[in-house]
Amino acid sequence: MNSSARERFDELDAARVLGDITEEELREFETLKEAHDFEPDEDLDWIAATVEETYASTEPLSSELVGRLEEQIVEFTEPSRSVVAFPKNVIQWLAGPQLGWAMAACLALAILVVSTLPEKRFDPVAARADLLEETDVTQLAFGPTDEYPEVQGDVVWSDTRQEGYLMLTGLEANDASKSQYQLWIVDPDRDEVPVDGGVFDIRPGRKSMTIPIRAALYVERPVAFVITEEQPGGVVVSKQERVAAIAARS
Amino acid sequence: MESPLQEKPQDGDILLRVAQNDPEAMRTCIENYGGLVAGIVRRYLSSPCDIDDVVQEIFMEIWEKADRYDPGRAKEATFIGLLARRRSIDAVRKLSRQPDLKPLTEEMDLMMTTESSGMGVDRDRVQLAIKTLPARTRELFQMHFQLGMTHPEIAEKTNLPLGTVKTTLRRGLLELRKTIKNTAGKEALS
Repeated sequence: MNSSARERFDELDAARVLGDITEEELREFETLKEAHDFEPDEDLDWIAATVEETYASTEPLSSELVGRLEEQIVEFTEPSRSVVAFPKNVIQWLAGPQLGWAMAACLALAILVVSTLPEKRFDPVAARADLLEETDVTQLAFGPTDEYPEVQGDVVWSDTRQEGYLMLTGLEANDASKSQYQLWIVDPDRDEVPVDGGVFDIRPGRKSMTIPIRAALYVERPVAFVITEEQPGGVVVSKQERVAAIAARS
Repeated sequence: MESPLQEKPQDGDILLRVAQNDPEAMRTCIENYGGLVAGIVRRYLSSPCDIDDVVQEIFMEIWEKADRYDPGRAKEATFIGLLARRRSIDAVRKLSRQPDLKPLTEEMDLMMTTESSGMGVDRDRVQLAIKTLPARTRELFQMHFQLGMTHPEIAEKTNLPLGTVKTTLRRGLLELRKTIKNTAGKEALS
């Protein structure tokens, strides 16, 4: 190995880490890298970061930025890949006469692998209001369950736009490190198994929340929307042990 | 001036939870490290708009790269600080129309640290290593890393030629690496 080339490369690598490498030096860096098969040393990055951190002081974030970051979290919180199967007791419950879900009896040991849809940054409250202007919108009221007696709200869904929102009140805040809520869309015309509608959280102190539905698959004619409480990140196979709310066509 | 490392809890699993798209972990991450990130960015940029934009970009990058974080190899603050530093430097270079360094750093996987290289890059070792540097180098380090001064500003303040400032900082960083490597080697043998 050419030691002077190595020394020069190291110096340029340090310049890269310090951010003061010039255009000409960058070309030299690339040339040396190619000619001698040198690689940048990430340890230098870690050392510089540690030095920076050692000297660092904190700066408060502006409230406007905190708001933007909160929107950003919504963007990044997309539904996980999910597979769901409903156990027999839940099928019987879902198929009860009060709901009229004859198709629910088919929801056993089903597997559904889904992909996520890209999400634009938006205001879900405004988007929900906008969606309600559409002519094909289905709007169903959520009813409480024994375990979640305070839940109220509705779901609006457009088959044409494949877009929908949950508007919920009275759903207790979850500790996201322990559990998260997950939406399931029941569409017997499409499939016998419910479609994953995404995982979401209810933050403490939020009386009302509007949550975008992230249907993982094309939904043709949903007959019911079911919210369950699951492990963080959602579940692969839902045991439907904690059903928080149901909205169904009568 | 208080170090963020002294006032923030060392919650080693925040990034692991962020990697699982846990929104509450993302909020905790912002609460715990937002001040550190903003503090770093502020040293490089002066416009409040630019600072906010870059801080936001950094958190987006943190969400995207959280799955590369290995708690056994670096503290969360260091991992986040590294991303903040790189992104800040990119922003400064972009504003001053210098070539983008992203293609170089993007190919690094952020995994290549202590164990893989045989080095122990932690705060204590770095602090000890800094003390071994010549006084002049330490002074320039402080101006660069703590006060966020540009190289021309340092040159003007110290009456040193700009080339000397650059070389001193570069060689100081390489010297730190050498010292830390030697220390890690000695500790491994003892």
